[in-house]
Amino acid sequence: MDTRDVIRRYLIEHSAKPGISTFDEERSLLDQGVLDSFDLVNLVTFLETEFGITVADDEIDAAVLSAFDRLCAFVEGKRGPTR
Amino acid sequence: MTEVSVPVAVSGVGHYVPERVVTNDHLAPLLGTTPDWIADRSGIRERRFAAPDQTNADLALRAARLALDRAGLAPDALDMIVVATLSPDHFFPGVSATLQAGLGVTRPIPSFDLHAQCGGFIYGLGVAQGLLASGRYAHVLVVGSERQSVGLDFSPRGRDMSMLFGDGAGALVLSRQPHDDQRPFVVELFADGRFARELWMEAPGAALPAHRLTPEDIQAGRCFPAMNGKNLILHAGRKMSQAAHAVVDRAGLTLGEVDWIVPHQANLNLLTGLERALGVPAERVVKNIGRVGNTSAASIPIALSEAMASGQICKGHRVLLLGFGSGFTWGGCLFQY
Repeated sequence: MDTRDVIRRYLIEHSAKPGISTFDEERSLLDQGVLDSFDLVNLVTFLETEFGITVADDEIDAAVLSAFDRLCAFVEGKRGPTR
Repeated sequence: MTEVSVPVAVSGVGHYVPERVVTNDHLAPLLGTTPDWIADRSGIRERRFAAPDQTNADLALRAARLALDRAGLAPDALDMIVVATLSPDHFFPGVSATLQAGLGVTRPIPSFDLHAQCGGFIYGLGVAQGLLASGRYAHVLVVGSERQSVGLDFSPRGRDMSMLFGDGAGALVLSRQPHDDQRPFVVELFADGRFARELWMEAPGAALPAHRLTPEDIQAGRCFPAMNGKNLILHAGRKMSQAAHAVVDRAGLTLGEVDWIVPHQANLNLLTGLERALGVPAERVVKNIGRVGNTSAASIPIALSEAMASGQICKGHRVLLLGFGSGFTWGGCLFQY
């Protein structure tokens, strides 16, 4: 699975909305209730563990973490071009 | 970090919250929202506000007297007083000066305020432990006390902050113990000033030109607390989790060996998220925010005192305190009661 698929599956399996099978990737994950604000903490922990990246304190930005495309781009940027 | 050689332990804890109950029903119309909106976003149903003639020092005095009673100590047994607050009665002197006089302490013991916001109480414990460990002092009073209700914006502009805060005080006497006392007392303190403006109150302050506080400052709301809410809960959750692990690791324990966690009562959603992040059962996390709101530096000792008075926390229990606040400042303290 590529980065987007892994993150998508995590979000669905750990959604604040139980039982969802998909979500709108164009809309804020917070606004559509896929995540609540504290889920973002666990999301960061997941990203660090799953992808072997480190999210620095000054990279903590709810606007990035709660937008699917920006989130995936952030992780892909951290993982580097060879992956 | 060098481990201390002189054991210390908690010998008494007390708290005081003002009698005046302010419900969401009362606040919601002022803030342009509904009682349920406040409850959903914060878990707070009511908070306590001080009476017009009650000062921060009055609240601190009530809590301190109870802590001293429970410790079985007279005020003159104290060797130092530390007050953590972000809502002092005056720029100077600190609440600690008024408290020292109010307690009737006749010895010229050191007394000072500590300005580390909602992390302040844990900072106070760290300072107290360090000085007790020197062997020079036997008993230190650490107080968290806030009178925040006079500094909030009770209009729709201030909704996100003003729904949260309440007044109150908590106090703890930390005492030197015999050398054979094996009970752990571990404090870890952290800060990262790059995030100072994520949660702050700009005015009044000496950085402002001329008058410290102008009518324009008031009109623009610079005299009220402001925060970047979504990022704040992320930082708070991450840093409180980090502090929890740092403290239990240093104590040589695991979170499973901790009986009670008493976190800063910032927001119920943060507390439930913290439970998930730490993987601890909800019933082991002390929560009183629904009844007293967020009392900043006072929230940990108030929750701790209530849990001890109700019999939840008993002698022998291991307790983990976790603080986080503006600055950012954060930290944890693990002790065995």
